[in-house]
Amino acid sequence: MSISDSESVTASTYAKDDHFIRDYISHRFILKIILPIILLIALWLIIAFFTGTTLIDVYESFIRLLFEGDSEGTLLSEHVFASLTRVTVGFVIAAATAIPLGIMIGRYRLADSVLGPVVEAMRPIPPIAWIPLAILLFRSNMLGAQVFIIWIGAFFPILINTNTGVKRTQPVHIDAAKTMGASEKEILTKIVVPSAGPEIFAGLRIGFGIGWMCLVAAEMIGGRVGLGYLIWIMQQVGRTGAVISSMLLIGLIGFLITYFFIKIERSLLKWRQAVSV
Amino acid sequence: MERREVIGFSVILIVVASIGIIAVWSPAPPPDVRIGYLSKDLHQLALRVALVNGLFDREGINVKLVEFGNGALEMDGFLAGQIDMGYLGAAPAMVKSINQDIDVTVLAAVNLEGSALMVSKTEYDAGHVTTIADLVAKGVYQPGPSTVQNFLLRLALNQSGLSYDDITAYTTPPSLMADSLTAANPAFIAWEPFNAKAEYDGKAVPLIQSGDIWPNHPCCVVASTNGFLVDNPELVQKVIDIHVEAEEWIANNTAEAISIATEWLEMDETPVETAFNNIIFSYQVNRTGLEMYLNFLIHEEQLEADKVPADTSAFLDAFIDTSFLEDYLP
Repeated sequence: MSISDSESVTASTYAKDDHFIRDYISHRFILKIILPIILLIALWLIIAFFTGTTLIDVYESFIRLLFEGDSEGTLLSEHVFASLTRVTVGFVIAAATAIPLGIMIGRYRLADSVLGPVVEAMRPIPPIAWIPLAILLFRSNMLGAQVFIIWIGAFFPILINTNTGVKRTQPVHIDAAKTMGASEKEILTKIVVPSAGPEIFAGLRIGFGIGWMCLVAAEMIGGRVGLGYLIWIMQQVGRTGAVISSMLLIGLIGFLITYFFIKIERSLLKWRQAVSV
Repeated sequence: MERREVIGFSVILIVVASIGIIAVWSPAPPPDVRIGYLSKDLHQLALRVALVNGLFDREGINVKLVEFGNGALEMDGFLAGQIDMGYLGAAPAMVKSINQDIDVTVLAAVNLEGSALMVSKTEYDAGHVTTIADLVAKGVYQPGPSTVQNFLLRLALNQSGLSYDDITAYTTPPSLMADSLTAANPAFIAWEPFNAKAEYDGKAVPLIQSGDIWPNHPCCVVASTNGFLVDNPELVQKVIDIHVEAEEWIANNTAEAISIATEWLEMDETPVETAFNNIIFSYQVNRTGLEMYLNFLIHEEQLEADKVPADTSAFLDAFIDTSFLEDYLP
């Protein structure tokens, strides 16, 4: 084969590769972005139709809320900020309490024996059922009551997943560490917690999702700002377009935060992906 | 007997029993009318009295009662075709009728007044909040921006030389208000029996009754879907007749009415009696009051811009129909 022949073969190979890559990217683009968007729009068109409104009403309600606010003049951005603040506070407290507790229950049999049944008995109680008690527990603090509901929603998924991740730590890794003279603290920080990383992150992602879902219930306790509050008030006055636009916004924010969690997980747990099949 | 035989016999027994039950079971006849109402709302005592005194049975009306958590949800019940008639607040009936094009007509009043602006007993006893003017820069709980109670709050503030902007209004369900009172948020406005219960429990005291803010203001009403009204005028007339009879019975049998209410609300008699005495049980519609409330909704932009009635009087003419009360009105 002459040099020009080999060059033309290489060039055509490269051209085929480029073609393949373009096809692959556009295929993924269509499957992962275009089709889901079309499905979502179709789904909400159906919901809007059966609730006596249209997507145009929803759009107009969204614009009105964005620039004029609700009947009290509170802008959509203020509602979003308030909701994000409540969920973030509730979630951070849930993570700070559930992860250490999950590690303890997963790692130490005594803690598992004593606390495990307590967790299993409390876990099935829905966060909404806690609302009356939350008011009494946080008498002078409505924010506290709302954050408590969100905390309840986020706490158990994080706890259970952390517990599962810790229990899945390979015993041979712990034995090897002990053989090399590792202390309990070193075993926890260098073996157990990294090993449980994927499950902990999954728990955080699920916990945030559930905490975000508890938002509407939490904000029905009372207040004057928040996306859940907005849905409740707009339902009372029959503004279905505003209800749906608030729901869509809740869904979008939840999706973006979940996506953010996945990105962080992939970045921090590269070692896990490197060895995965 | 072998296990398989036992299982076989059990299956045969179950099948035969099921066939027998299906053969003899006759499904309940469909109700003549489905009436919505609000759970544990003392304002709607007339409906409870009608049931307890057997008025529907006497008239041969097969009624199905459907309970709702609030008037907005009951209006959704109208929209979804779950109910034909309903006892609910005039406020949600009006606002959702306009915003969601729900075709209902108000046929009679259920009660007038029966709300109050309450203040934390601790703050009142300490002398921090003893008048409406003391609410400046404080938080006040109210059931929602489009409710009669919100309008009453605004009126009360205006009458004291204040405006709505001088306080911070928080929206909360009435059942949670008394337990949410603090020094910073010392007041709430709600309907009975929540006010009387809060007073009885030592949590709050009344600052002003709603009848002192706005005498004879409208509150709950009886409404019907327009379709049911057109198709069943005689049945609707019977239900209204029963409603009027119950209302008059309440007025003439106060002690018995309180007894029925006490049992229904599952509360002690003292707060029930207090709440009862703060309510005017009347079937006469306060049209002027409803017009004031409609103007409030328009002014506060609670109505969809393209659905604001061009002629409020014409709207009320269509929204209210007191012809079923002809025999009872003076």
